[in-house]
Amino acid sequence: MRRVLFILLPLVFLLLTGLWRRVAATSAQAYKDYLFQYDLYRQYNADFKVARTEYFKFQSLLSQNAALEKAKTVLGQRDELLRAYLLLLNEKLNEDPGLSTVEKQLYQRLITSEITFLQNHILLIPSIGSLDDAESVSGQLTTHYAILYASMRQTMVALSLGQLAMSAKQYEQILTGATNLIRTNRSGFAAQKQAVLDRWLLSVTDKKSLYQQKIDTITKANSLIKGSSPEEVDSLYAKVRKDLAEAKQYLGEGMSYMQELVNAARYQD
Amino acid sequence: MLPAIRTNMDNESSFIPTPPTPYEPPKNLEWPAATPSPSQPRTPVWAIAATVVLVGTLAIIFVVASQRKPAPIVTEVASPTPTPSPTPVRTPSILATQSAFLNLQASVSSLSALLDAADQDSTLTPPVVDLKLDLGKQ
Repeated sequence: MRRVLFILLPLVFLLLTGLWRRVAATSAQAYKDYLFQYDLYRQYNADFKVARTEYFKFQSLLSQNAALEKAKTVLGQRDELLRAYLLLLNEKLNEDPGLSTVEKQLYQRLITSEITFLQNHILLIPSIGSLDDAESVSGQLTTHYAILYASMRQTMVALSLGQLAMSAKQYEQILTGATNLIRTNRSGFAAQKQAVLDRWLLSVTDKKSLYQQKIDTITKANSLIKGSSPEEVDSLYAKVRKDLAEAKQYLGEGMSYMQELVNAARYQD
Repeated sequence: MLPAIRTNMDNESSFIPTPPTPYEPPKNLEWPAATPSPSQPRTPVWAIAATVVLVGTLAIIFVVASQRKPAPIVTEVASPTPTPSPTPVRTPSILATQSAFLNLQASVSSLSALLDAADQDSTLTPPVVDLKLDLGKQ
């Protein structure tokens, strides 16, 4: 009886507290947490701006202390917000079915490095004693932000590559299936019809090759998304996004050729 | 004066043509002298101008009236449409009913729809944060 209670009680505890649900952090939960942190940041930032305005207006010790407290709060919340966003990206990477384990680990290493920086940065905040200290601590994140932002953008590109990889896998399966089907039933078509089907198959294969070349270009360009400012990072990111759209377009065109092949193969003539 | 001609009914042996009398123009044939016409009163200028104005006005009224006439009703003549040619009947191939072909068709439609969808997840947009505190600026 004691043994049964010893086993059942923790289970009942887990069921009541819902702790078992928190063990597996999904991207949906990470997204909710990110939104919550974002709302807090906006609120604290607005409070800080009001306190700063009052300090500039009154230049009193009271307003200065209030501005300092609000600055410390907003600095801490800013780090929490960025950390929540990086955790969201991490969960998305975990759930992405298109990326290989090696690729996931590469980007997760980037994320872990940035989370470590933020955790170390947030430890500096309690030691802020003056407005100059607040400026100095804030400046450390400002200096590092371009690197952090580049890591974010690289991870976003990786997630897009993962989605495209899934589509490309389906594309390959469809192409293989169509090729086998046409080859098996070739004798049932006239010579002219066979030539038409072969041309469509060739067109579909060509589009796959173009897609793969584009993916190789994107992978190389993604590793070079860096800059001294977020704006510079964004301009490189925009070019990579354009390449991603082109790669997707190749797959789309290939599928339209496949549809033509299906329409042609449906009839004898 | 023409010579007398006797007909066969009269007497054939007594036909003797007589020479025509030479023409003598009448004497003292002169055109009568032109007698001057009696002096007629001249038409006044105002009458001529009034006539011209009247004729011109009537002409303008006629032109305007003719332009104001309603456009003639155009009756549409229905032209006979050609009989459309019948859709050619195409023979389905041996593949058309195979399950592998139908699965292929479904897969193509599915992937095409997926590729048409939006590519970027909107939840992944990075947060916008203020990097500078600007505590020294007023």
